[in-house]
Amino acid sequence: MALNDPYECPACTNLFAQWGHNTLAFFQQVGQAILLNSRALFMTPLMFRKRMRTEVAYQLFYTGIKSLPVLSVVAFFVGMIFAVQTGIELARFGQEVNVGGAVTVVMLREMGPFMTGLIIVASVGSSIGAQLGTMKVSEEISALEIMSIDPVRFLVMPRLVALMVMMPFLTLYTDVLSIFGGGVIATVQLGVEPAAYLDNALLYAENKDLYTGLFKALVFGFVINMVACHQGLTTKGGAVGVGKSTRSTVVISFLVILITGFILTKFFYG
Amino acid sequence: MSENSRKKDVTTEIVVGAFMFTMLVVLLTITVVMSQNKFFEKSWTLKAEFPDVGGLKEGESVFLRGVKIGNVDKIEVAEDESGVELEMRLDRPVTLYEGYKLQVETASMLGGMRLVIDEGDHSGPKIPEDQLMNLKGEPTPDLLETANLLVGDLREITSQISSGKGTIGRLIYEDGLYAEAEGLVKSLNETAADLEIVSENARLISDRLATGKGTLGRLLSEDEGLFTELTNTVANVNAASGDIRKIVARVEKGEGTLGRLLSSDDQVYKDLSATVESLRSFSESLNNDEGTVARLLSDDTLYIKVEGLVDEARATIDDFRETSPITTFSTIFFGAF
Repeated sequence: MALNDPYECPACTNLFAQWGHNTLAFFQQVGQAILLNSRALFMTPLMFRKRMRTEVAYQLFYTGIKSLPVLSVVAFFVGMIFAVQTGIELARFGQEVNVGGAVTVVMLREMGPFMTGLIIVASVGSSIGAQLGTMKVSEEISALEIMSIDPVRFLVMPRLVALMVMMPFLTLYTDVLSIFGGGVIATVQLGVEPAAYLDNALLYAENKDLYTGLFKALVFGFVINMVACHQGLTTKGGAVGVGKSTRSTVVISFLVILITGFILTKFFYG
Repeated sequence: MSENSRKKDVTTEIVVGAFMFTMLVVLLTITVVMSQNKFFEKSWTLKAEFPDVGGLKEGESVFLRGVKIGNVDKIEVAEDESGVELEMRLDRPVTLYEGYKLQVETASMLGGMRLVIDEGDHSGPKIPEDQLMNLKGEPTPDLLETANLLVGDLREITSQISSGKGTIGRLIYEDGLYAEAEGLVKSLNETAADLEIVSENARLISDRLATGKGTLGRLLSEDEGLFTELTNTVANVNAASGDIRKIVARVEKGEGTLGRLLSSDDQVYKDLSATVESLRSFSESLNNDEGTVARLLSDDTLYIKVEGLVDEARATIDDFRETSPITTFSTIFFGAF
């Protein structure tokens, strides 16, 4: 399925007419991306077919397992940083024992999925954009279509499945490591007993916080794949175009994750 | 598909599967731990009806004597709209007595609620087990209302103070109290100065005591001389008192002059009266110039004669003294021959 070319503004001098055309072009891009991903979503039952299964497994491996090293370091240090910052302020009031609750709730609700999303955008999203962009400019996508292989089913759907499945698991992994990192700081620097840290964490954290965060991660996975695949499949202009697609993938994904995160937080806790 | 490629695919699938399975187990564990439900431990359930629960939520802690013993399991508005039905799951059985209290309280200054169980008076009758499913909770104190009352009281107090009423108001707005306070402080200062002198004296006394000066100091010092003297004195006094006791005994028996004087027998008194009478007649004789003694006392003729006689005697002695060396020399001179 070849995506239509982006809507091009006619060479009009009227400023308002240009704005209108640009708005139309923006809506077209958004619509294309949503439709592209929706098609991939409806094709997910096909992932259990023998040929697709291998590809999906590879994408799961690439998205999930390959991201673990960088995610581990980032998660551990973010947990420690957060514990230090909140712990110092709480210690002024003699409330450093509450650092466990603060770290856990914030990581589960917001920072866990958000941080995981950003790291996956930077590592996997950019990779998808660059990979599909290169395939587009080198006309591999066209070749697939000529061979009657649907690029959405073969390229987009496995990545969508991988991102939507792996994002919640990676977020959970980030949560656990961050809370552990926070616990290390609480114990070593703030003098809070590990048991007190955990008790306090469990006192304030609820299952709703955990599952809200995991749901956010699921949505972020969908969003990242939507932006990355769309940007990749609409790449134009050779190597420069690939670079632009990669950059656009990262920037747009960041923004969409921020906005989506706010909306979901407002929806669940507003 | 080559064998290597197939092996690689299988490895990928295994790693992905292992990771996802591990994460699923972690998710399950965290879910169970955070739900704070103890699936494999016995629990006890209590049910109570509250007029209102003041924002208490399911999952909040239940405390007994300051110890967390369970969680609020279910909160439902009662069907008859008379209150709120609350079910709590406890880790241990609780025995309630007459006068028990179930109260929803604020957990901390930062917020949050908790349910506190007061078992009641242990000397009172127990609440039967069948009634543990139909307990009555206390109405939740409205913190806002309490705060408003407090603020109202504070406002009244500050208005009284600002109008100069009451002790604090008078302290702030009346100069008389200030003057009295100033006088009091002054007299306190003087008293303090006196106390300083007293303490200085006390210090001097204690120094003297410490150095063993003065009677008390010597008494308190390690030198036992004074103590020994005192002991001897006491012994002497004891001995004297023994003697006195003997004298008194003799007096009581009527022995000796004093005894006879004080005894019931008035013979001595009579003798004494007779003596006094004789003395009186003697003195009267003297006054009347009767007899030699009276005239010696009243007539100075004899005195003049005696005086002349003494003068003559003195002259005779003087003559003898003047002639004495000559007599002595003559005696020696003629004695040699």
